[in-house]
Amino acid sequence: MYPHERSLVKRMEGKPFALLGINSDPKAALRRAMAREKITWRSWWDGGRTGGPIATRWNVSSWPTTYVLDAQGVIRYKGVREQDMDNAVDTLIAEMERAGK
Amino acid sequence: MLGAVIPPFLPPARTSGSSLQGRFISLAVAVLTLGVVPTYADQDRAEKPLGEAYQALEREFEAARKKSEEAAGYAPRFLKLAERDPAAPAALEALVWVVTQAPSAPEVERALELLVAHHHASEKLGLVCSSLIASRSPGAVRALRAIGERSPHRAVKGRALWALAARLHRTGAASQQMFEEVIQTYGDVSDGHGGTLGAAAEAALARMRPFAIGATALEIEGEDLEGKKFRLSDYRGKVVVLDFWGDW
Repeated sequence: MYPHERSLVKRMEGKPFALLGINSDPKAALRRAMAREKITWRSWWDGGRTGGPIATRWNVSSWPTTYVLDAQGVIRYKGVREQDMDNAVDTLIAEMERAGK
Repeated sequence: MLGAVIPPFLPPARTSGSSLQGRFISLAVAVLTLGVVPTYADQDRAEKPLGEAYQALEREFEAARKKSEEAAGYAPRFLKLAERDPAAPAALEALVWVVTQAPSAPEVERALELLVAHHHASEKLGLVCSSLIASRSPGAVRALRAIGERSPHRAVKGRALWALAARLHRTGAASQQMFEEVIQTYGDVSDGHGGTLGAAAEAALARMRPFAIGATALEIEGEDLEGKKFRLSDYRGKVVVLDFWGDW
């Protein structure tokens, strides 16, 4: 996951895009992972366990779980990884660019 | 729903010569769409200081509201007309007028009884169904069920079931099964607004499932590693990938 996400974030620099994490690790483990993997994107810290408040509210029961939202905050894709995630993001960015013209 | 069943209209200030019904329609629409009538807003911005423009707009709204209350007073007269011979074609028109133009008037209850009793075979009941979604009439649910059972027209039956599901959903009642039945049985029926009942019901179902594709994402509020608060809604206007992750 990490290398792909790093490259996605890099490729999207300057575009209306954000990768946001919801992390279930204890704080020390999250801190270590962010340094080791050069994670530049933001994560909510979800209480240090898999049954944290955000994951619970979102009914998340397996990790990783991903959602891709459009600019209006509507869920447009779920469970996408790697190339599928790239395609989803590219599609929605292109949609925004078309709408902006 | 009122706006859905009426013909194109002129802005209220320019309809002085039109019929009373036309006036009422224009006023009702003006009330419904107040604030999004671009010509007025643009005029206000161009010609008056904001405070003055606000007061003028508020006065205009009050006048429109009073007139629309007067217009709602026509419902008893349309109903009375229909009562003269409830089975007549003109009575059907008058009763449909009451339900579609004044959907929350007290007369709607009686109008619905007469419509179901004398006109359940009319295709015009499709219009009536749409108006009943947001009507405050206590007889609306009963009427929608009766129309669904007794109408010989598939298009009307479909719209009755759709309106029933949408109405129950508005009041918080569980209507998932009804939406599913709309999709299965009446999916291809027109919703009267250029779409199909199937698509409308699919969209309603999607909004009911909070994590489905097509649903608006729930707000997320929390802190990052440094204890800084942030929200998902801070990122509106951007494409967002949400990644529930752990380093394991």
